[in-house]
Formats: sequence, C-alpha cells, structure tokens
Amino acid sequence: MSAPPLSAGGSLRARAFPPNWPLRLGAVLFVAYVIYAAGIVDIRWERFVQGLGNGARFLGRMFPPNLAHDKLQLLAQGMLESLQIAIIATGAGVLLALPIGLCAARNLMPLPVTILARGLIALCRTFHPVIVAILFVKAVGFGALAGILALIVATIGFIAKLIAEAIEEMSMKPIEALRAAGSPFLSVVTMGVVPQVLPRFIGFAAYQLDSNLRNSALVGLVGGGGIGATLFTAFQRFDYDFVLTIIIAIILAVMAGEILSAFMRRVYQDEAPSGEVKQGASGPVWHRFTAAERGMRLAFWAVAALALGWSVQTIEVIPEFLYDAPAQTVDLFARMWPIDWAYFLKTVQQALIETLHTATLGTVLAILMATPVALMCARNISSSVWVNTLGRFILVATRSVHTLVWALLFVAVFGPGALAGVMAVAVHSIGFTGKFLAEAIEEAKPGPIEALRAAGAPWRSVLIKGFWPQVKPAFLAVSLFRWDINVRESAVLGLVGAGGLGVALQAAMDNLYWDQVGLVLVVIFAVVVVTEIVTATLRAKVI
Amino acid sequence: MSALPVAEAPGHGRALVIRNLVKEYRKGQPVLRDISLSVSEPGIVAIIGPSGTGKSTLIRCINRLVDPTSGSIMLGGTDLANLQGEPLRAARRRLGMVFQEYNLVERLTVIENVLCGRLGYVPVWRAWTRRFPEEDIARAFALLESVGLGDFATRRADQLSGGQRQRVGIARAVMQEPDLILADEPTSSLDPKTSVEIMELLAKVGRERNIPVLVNIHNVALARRYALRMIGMSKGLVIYDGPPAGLQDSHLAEIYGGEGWME
Repeated sequence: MSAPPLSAGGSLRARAFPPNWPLRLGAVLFVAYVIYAAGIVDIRWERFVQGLGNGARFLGRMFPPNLAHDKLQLLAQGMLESLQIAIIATGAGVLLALPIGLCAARNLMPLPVTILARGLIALCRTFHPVIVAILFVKAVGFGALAGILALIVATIGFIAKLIAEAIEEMSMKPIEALRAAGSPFLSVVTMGVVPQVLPRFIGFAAYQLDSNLRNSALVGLVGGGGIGATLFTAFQRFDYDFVLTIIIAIILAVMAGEILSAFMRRVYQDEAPSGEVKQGASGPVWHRFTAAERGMRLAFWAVAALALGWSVQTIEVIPEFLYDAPAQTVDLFARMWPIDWAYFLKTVQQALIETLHTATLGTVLAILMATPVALMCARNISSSVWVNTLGRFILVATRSVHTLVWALLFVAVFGPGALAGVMAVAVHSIGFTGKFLAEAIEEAKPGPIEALRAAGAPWRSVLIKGFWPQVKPAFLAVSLFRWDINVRESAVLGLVGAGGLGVALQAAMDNLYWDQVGLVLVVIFAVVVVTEIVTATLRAKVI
Repeated sequence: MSALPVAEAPGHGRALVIRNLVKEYRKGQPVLRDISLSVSEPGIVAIIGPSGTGKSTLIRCINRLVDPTSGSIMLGGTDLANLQGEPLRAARRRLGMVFQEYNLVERLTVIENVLCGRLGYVPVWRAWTRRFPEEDIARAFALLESVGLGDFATRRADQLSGGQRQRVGIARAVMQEPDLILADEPTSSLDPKTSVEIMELLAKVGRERNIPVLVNIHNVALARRYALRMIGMSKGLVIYDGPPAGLQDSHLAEIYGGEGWME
C-alpha cells in the first residue's frame, strides 16, 4: 500500500486541503475594507450604545400607537390616496409598457427599434423612483400627480423589461406557423404572442401593483402625495406614536397586497383553460373556457377596470399641471446644462464614496442578520411552526417598510449621517436576503444531510458540511444582487439625512443650483451602470 | 487493491439483535409487521424482497433515520430504539451507512467527503476550520488509496462517476470505524459490472474489518454470490433467513409472488 507520509506535521493537511491563496488574500482584503469603511462612516460601539438608549426612548414615544379619531381619518385619507396612486400608476404604466416591451423583443422587431426601446427601458430603470419623484415634483408641483408619474416610470422600467424577456423566451414555432399562413403582424401578436405571454404578464402586473403600493409610501416622502406625505409630516411634528400607526398600516396594506397578488397569479397561472363543448342550436359549440373560468376572468377584468375608473375619478389632481408638465420638464433639464463639473471634487466625490461604503456595509450587516432568520424560516431546519412563522413575520415586516422610511427612523435614533443609512439598508435588506436564503436552504438536497446525520454528526456540523456547500452559490448570488440594489438605495438615503449622494443632491436642490443637481444625477447614473457591470462580471466568475 | 487499514479490532459489542420491530407510517398500516433477527457474524448479510416491502425502512430503523413504532434494536447492550440526542449520535457513529444515491456532498472534495465520516467524533470548530486530526486525514488518504481513488482526493465529488462516488460513500462509512455497515441498495443506480465491483468491495470491508455488512439488494444472483447469509422479506415479514444455498425457488416464489419471472 502506498501509504502517505505520516510524519510531516502540516503537510498532510495541506495535501488534503490545499490552501487557495487568492481566495484568502481576497477575504483578508475584504475584511480590512469593511473595518476601514466602518471607521469612515463612524460605526463605533459608543455610538451604537448611545443609539440604543435613544432608540429605547424613541420606542417609548412610539408606544402605544396613536388611534385617535382625527389621526385615523388622516391615515385613511393618506392610504386611500396611496392606493389610487398605485392603481393609476400600475394601469397606465402597464399599458405603456406593453408596446415598449414588444418593441424591445429582439425576436420580433428590427434591431434599431429594439435598441431604442431598450435604451428607454434602461433609462427608466436606472434612477430610483424617489429621484424621479423629486424631478416630477419640481416639474408638476407637490401632490399625487408627481407620485403617479414617478411610479409610471418605474412600472415601465420593470414591466417592459420582463415583457421583452418573456417574448424572447417564448416558443417561435406557433409564430412561424401563423406567418406561414399569411397572418398580418397584429394577428401574429394577438394569436401567437399574447397567449404565450399573458399568464406571466398578469403575474408581473400583480407584482407591480404590490410594489407600487409599497413605493407610493415612498414618493410621498419627497412630495409625491399619499401616505408617504402623511408619514413625513408626522415625523416632522415628532408625532412618533402616529408614525407607528402609519407604519403598522403600511405593513398591513403591503401584506394584503401580497396575498391579493398571489391570488391573482394563481387564477391566471395555475393551468391551461380546460375549455368545454356545448350543444348549441346549430351543432356543438366550443368555448375556450368553462363557465366558471369565464366568470372568474370577467370578474377580474371588471374589478380591475372599476378600480382604475374609480381612482381616476376621485384622485385630487389639478389637470392644468399635467398640461404644462412637458414644458416644465424640458425647462428643468435646460437649467441643468451646462453641468457644474467643479462640484464633483468639492463635495460629490466624498458623498459618492460614502454611498458605496453605506451600500457595502449595509449589505454585509444584512447578511449577518438575515442568516439566522433564514435558518428559522427554512422548514427543513426548523421544524417548529412557531419558529417558522416568527421568521417569516420578521422577513415581511422588514421588507414592507422601505429603506427610506427605515432611514427616517434611524436618523431619529443615531442622528444624521451614514450610520443611520447603513442601519436602514441593513434592516430593509433582511427581508429580501432572508427570503432567498431560506428558499435556497429548502432546496438543498436531503440525501447528503441524511448521510451526515447517519454518521452521528452534531447539527452544527451538518449545517456547515451538509447545507453550507449546497447553499453557497445561491448565497453569493443573492448577496451580490442585493448589493447592486443597495447601491441604488444608498444614493437616495441622503434625502432624509442618512448620508451619501442624496445629501449632495438635497443641498444642490435647496440652493436651486440646477447645474449641480445635473452633476449628481450624472454621477448616480454612472455609478448604477458601473455597479451593474461589476456584479454581472463577479456573478459569472463566482457561480 | 491493498488492504484496508484497521484502526482497532472491533469484536466486542457488535451483535445486532432486533426484536419484534414494528413500523407504521400510518396508523393501522404497518410496513414492518414483526421483525426479529440477530446479526453478529462478519461478512455480507443480504436482505432481498420486492419493492415496498420495508427493506429500506428496516435499515433506516436500525440507525434511526426512521423512528420505529415498537420493538427493540439492541446493539452491544444499548437499545437504539429509544435513544435521543447525544446518546443517539454516539450510537450512530458505530453504524456506517451506504446509500443508493451515494449522498455525497457534491460541492466538497472527495477527501472532505470521506472525512465527513468523522463528523460524529470531531468537535464542530475542527470541522468548520477543516482542522481534522492528523491521523484522521492519514486514514482518509489510506482509505481512498484502498478503494482505488488515491488520485482523486482533491477533486470535487460531482466530477466522479457513479461507481467512483459509491466507493467514496463506502470509504466515508468505513471512516466511522463502525461496528456494522448498513447499505441501502448500494448497487441499484450502477451498471452490472460496477455493481459487482461495489459488492466485492463491501465483502472485503466486512472480511477485513471483521464486521457484518447488512445489504438491501434487488439483484438476487448478485446477493447469492457475495452473501454469507440471506434474509428474504415479504409484506413486512421475514420469510427466509439462512445460507444462500438453502434459498429455493419455492422461497423466491413466496417472497416475490408468482413464478413466471424466474424463467
């Protein structure tokens, strides 16, 4: 037997587990960076402890939530307006997104058209809804209209991209058959494309309604109307008990929205229509849907149309503002030119670095906090229903409250600055990161886990050697994806005083230095593009 | 292939005595009706029987991946049927298990998969930092050498073929220094030639380590060739228990039902 050398101390271990020096170096550099960045944004233990004291006092002032009659009336008004904003923005956004998405599909459209459509989609996606909302507030004034327009832009960016992808992924065979039969283009679309894409499209629209409801609380913070405006006023008046009422209401509304959109997706995605053949006056008649299916669909479209009609009828918008909006917008961009490049070195560079630190530290912190919650949620790890439910509640609650709202809370606790931003990014990201991690854990193959348990491994060893290797790729992918999102989010946190590029943006706008505003927007655009390239490259490398 | 390294001579306390074992997944529908058997002799003991007759359930009851409904499973003086927590883990270390689908952690290297057999022994921090005791690593290398995979130590497990993976699975089980090896259909996912090689390897492990190897197997001819004893099960009961030579066609007809398939 060719026995390996038993003598040399570390050599055998090194032979079994050859050290990966580039990886180790990378890890050391990353840890060093995190420590350095933590120093820059002034994360210190004393500040944290002090913050905890503030936080306790703050929580004390929040409890019990204010349920006075006049406050509830304010709340109802705000929520109603948010709902209207969300419905109108979803309806209009989806209608606009349909043709744009179709134009962006490379398997149906000529190249120049797709390039144009894709450019438009990319532009809609790059800027955070809050920044778009600020610009619209400047263009059409305070109120619901600015919020609606901002969310329409966000909806177009999201839905058009997904529609384009769905069309590109569909089967081309029926399309070829229709073309071969000499169908005109519109018939090809209605008979060949729509049936293949519709179920997914309904899913996207449902998700977007849900997401717009959440975001309508957000655009209000910068003057876009709805519950966000109510929330911001409550903050400025230090009505913290009312703040809590509003936040609870938002969480409940978002939960209700999620249940509703899940239901809609079930109705439309579950299975193909079964259809039926009935005996008509002149022989058998085929119906694509059974009576129940038709009823369900009819009811769905009727409710959607009614909701849209009601929202448009009742929302308080001054139409005159809409008419001169294009002129105002053009004027706004005209004032940004020429861009004040000198402002970059003076202020923006610093703010940019702070934004990147905030995003990275927030993501790292979020992963640390989300991992135990994900373990609580994963049913193949925690078998207790109570632990699962608690975990899921934490995920939904952290996710429902937007980063910017969390930032408001943390600014009140830690004072203005990047520390509040880091905490806001971290806490909001728990929901997203934890949800995907829990799903990855639940998808881990049970076989290897069983083998380790059969070998008598303690549960922590099973976690480390059985689950972790299986979950690692998803873990890295989710972390990268979240970091990408967090860079965008961190860029706007400064609007509520939580550090970064948003502070520079706010300062420039307060001073009406539109050339400086232009610069910040250009920088944000560049950062978002670079971040996307970086994450795409890293993802390809890591996974 | 060279001899398997023997760390310590097991001999005491390896008798497995099962008494009146019953398992019901649903109340009133027993999968195992009343199983009593004892195994103490080294070498392969083959369990044959039709699908769904409880062979896997029996094997899984022994190391408690499945909890029995009633009955006792004595291994060297301890009743495994009622163990929980720490004592159960200690008992499981003494039972190596080989799986039909190999159940390797695919994204770990071959050597680390073999070392996973020591997870019941090494503290968690050692597993986490990969600081397995030096003698464990040496034994893992020697075991890989002896199953013919000496050159594959630092390959990832998902780069191996089925037969190679099952060898790693066996090395992992042996790594536990078990008093008994349980193999749940170890050859069902393999081609005929590789199946023979795997049975050969299991027989060798039993012989050299002087321990019983309890194997669930569908292939009766392969079972006859390597088993020193055969247990025929049908409908949750033991129909035959004796040497392969004594297993008649009449027994097989009773175990599997009908005779047409034997032509």
